[in-house]
Amino acid sequence: MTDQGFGVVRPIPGNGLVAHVGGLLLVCDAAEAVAEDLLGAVRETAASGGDGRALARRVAQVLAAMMGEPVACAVAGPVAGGVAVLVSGPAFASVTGSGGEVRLAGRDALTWSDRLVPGPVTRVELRLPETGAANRLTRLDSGVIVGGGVECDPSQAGEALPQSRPAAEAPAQRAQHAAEPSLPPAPSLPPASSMPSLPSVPSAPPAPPAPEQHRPAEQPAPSGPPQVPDWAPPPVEPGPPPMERPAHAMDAPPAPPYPLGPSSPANPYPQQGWNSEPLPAAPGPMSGPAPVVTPHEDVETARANGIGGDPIDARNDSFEYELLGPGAPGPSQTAPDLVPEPESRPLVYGVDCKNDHFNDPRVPYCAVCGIALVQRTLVPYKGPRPPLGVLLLDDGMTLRLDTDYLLGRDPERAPEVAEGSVRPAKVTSPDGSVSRRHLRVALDGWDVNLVDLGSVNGTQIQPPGDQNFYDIPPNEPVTIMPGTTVRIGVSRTMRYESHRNS
Amino acid sequence: MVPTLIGRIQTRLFLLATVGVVMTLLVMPLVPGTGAPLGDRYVTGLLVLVAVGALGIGWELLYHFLMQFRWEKDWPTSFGLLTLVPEGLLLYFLLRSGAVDFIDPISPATFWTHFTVVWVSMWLVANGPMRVPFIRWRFRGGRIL
Amino acid sequence: MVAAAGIPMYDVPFLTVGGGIGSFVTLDYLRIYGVPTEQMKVVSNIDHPWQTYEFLTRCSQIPRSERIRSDSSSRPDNIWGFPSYALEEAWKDKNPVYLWQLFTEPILNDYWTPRAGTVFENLEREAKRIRYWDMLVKGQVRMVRKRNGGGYFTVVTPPEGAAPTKRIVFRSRFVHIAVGYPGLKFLPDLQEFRTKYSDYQHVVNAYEPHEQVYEFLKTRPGTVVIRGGGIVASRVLQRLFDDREKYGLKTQIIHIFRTFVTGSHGPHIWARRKGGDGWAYQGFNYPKSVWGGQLKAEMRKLEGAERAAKYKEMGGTNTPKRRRWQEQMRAGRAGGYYHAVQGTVDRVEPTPDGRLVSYVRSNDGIVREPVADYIIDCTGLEADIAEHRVFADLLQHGGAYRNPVGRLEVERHFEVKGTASGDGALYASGSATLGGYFPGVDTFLGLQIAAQEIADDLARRGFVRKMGPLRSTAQWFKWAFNSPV
Repeated sequence: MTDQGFGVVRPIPGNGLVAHVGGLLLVCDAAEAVAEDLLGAVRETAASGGDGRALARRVAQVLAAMMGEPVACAVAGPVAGGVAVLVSGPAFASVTGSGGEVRLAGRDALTWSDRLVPGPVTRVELRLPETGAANRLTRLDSGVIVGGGVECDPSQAGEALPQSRPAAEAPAQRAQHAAEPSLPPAPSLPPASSMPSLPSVPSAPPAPPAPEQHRPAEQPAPSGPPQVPDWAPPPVEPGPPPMERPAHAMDAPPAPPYPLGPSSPANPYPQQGWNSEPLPAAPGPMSGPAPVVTPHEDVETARANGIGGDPIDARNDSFEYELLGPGAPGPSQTAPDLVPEPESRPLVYGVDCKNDHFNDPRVPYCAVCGIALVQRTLVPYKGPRPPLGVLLLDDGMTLRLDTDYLLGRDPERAPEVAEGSVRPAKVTSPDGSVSRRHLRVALDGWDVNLVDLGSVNGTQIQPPGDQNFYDIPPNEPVTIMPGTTVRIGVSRTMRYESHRNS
Repeated sequence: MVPTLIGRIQTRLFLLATVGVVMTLLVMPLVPGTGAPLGDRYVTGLLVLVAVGALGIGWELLYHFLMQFRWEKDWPTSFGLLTLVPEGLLLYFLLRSGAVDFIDPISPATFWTHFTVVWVSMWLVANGPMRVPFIRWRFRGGRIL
Repeated sequence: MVAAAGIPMYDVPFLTVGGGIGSFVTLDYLRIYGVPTEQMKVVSNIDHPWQTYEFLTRCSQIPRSERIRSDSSSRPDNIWGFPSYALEEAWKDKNPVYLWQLFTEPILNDYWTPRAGTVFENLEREAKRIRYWDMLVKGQVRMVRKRNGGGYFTVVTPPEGAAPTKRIVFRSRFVHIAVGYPGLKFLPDLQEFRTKYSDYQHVVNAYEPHEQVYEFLKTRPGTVVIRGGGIVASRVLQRLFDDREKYGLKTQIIHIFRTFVTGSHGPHIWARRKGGDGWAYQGFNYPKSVWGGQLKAEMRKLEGAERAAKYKEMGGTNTPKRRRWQEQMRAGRAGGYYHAVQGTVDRVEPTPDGRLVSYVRSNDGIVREPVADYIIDCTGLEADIAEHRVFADLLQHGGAYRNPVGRLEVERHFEVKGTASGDGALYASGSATLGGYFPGVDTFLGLQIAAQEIADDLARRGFVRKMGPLRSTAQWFKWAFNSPV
């Protein structure tokens, strides 16, 4: 292995990924899909016998595709007469060549920094921020592991290391190593596509955001005291023994997919009747069948990144999403936390504000904290739907729109109420113009629909800003806007109001 | 008008030299209460402008002092017009008393007609059209230079 | 490298980011100064410059027919401020009373202010005249970074389907950032209430739609807690009083001021402001002298802590004292349905019967626990500038830094300090630059002052010819006849 070009490669402990493949080095800390792309770039370059320059070019393409997001990543590979190195995001590289030490930090540049350091190269170090120091006994001759960086120090290796080996030599040797044979320990990154098909995924097809798999697994691995100085001699107690690292990387990552807590409609439906008394106390858990969720047109628009058609894939691809809160767990973890108890609120496509509050993708400002939503690229995912607003009846009764309602003179005995799919709301009028089962208020995505259930006196709506009332057709859903007044029968009215009116 | 002291003085002098002169030329042939030849009237009118300018520096210092009692360092737009009264009265009495002896004796009708026309014109220009050629003027505290 | 990576790159000498009123007035200035549309682009995610502003005014109880808080000659659609809105409305409505009001304000009358609709219509007219939409590029700006060879790269995500790539890059010598508020900041205890109880309708922010409050109060008597003492609080209060009168309601109003002003206040006799009943009042529609007078001149010279201190002295929420609203408050106090108290709210909890109890602690130590049906937060706090990704990136990587009051430090000509790149320059205007040498940046006039400073700086750098009195007058006539610049 000494002919790899970098001599002895020592992994630095950390939470990212470190790859040494075909004589090329990669260190990165990124969302799974990105890391996979980067690994792919290294493998392809190695397989095709490319040198460090080819690697940098290939990695640049990967980074370019996600430009604008700080992907912490550093690669290095030998070229004729030296070493090519590329750094992006908060990663750091130091290469000591004939001209002395060259230090590169990705954050100095708009996109990334790359440099060709003329040889003979005596030292290469690639590292992510906040990592420890390398144990001088460790070695990574080839493979992909969890780590925070690499340090190559030929002088300590005690073996002849042709640093400035001409690139022409490389292909043949590298081709032998190339890719597969040396890579079985790669399961640290199971392909994302395998996720939805895992048997442990419950029935609901709207799979939740795929978690970053390597991250949770690494959480318990801040092994050893983090050593700040880069060049400090290895610590006395340098973390886990070298052999454990790859092993750790191998069994930890295939974390089970995130359990679909919120989507399982396991709860019994409480029968909470609503009548003339306005009691907007905390309502019982939402009932109802798995909601029919059709992605909204606006949602489509919001998915501005041109990610492929399938929304589930979109979620997996949305690296930028996780990265925005540095160090914070991705929204895949936080979204379920918003649910106070394991109730079954329907899942709808929505977007998070930068403070991780789940919102209607159409609103300009976050409904919880007020921050503007327009400043970021919104990546929709399925989350528990917050209340859409309220229905205010003319007697002051307030219905919180967190579930479907059946309005009528005698809604309790309606079959859909009995089966628990809607909440009853009793509305009566002295002239008897409200039918027993009069009107269904059906929530669909972020929309509020009215379905007149063939009532005797019908239902009329007055859109906001309009002077006239219009009949709605029976048994057909009609979407209403916030500010709409609804006349139920002849004499009762209610208004739909919402903080999401934009 | 929310100028600084130096801006107000500059604006006053500038407007006297432009609007004031133009209005004097226009209004002097028409003023009542004088039978003097037109040339003499013009001389008188322009000298009045000079006096307004000279006294004005003192007035502006006084206004500036009064405004310091207000948080905004400013006062309502209408005050800019109403200052016509004290300034006109002072100048008028100075003229009548002969304290300003380089101006010939002047009848009340002539003085007040001329003074009012000039003052109102200047106030109107300062509160609007002035901004058209001088786009930086209003943001620089009324300074022209 | 960017080009090699296959990201399309466009060259445009001047790029403004934001697309709100700040971008608009800057482009307006430059167009009038003589820059052709081909040399400028505006990147925005909104379609009209007034879109965000209109949304916020509408939510805070100012529809198009109502009057906004702005001076008659603060015209974002007219760089000269002449004729003023009052002249124009007087002409259009054939109503000289406006001019009388303008003349007599504030002695005999309230301040004259323009209708929101007047502003929006004129903005539209001017936008068409300068061919604003020829310069508009829809997209999401992700970052602005210095370019090695001078100037800047601006990375933009175009709307889906609008471009073949996920990102496009603009290379420009000058960049102007006017992205406005990063957003509001709802009070922490109200945020907590929303997330904890999943209740979005009883605790509302005045800047978001909250018609349900007024509608509910029409159906039955109720109590409302108002928090905050600014202009929006006065609008909300007026709406409650108006509804009370119009529909004969029995609404009870509890108004919580964090700072309760009882009278004239200020550090010394040269800096006293009127106040009373909790409010600090503006002597003027807008403290005019901040934009032209002594205060502006004074601030221009101050640095660091001195500047921060001056801001503090000037600062504080204040509200124009309008006659009708004052009468309504008097009637409310006399009738026992309007209660103003000093205090800070520790927390808000729901009561078993679905109402809200606030725990209010006064400076004198008394804790009150008013129970209400609704709470309206009128504090209008703004989020930190770093909450906006473009500013966050500039602070982190672009060399920009914060001014004494925590926002973006800009030069007197609104160049962002520390971001110069070769012969290029990066400018910013709007509320993000509050705390600089010029106070009052987040007003129409403030935006125009910034635009003028920027245009003149660009003229110094040779990007455009400086405009003198003759050209200015000629351009004004073009404006008056609505002919292209």
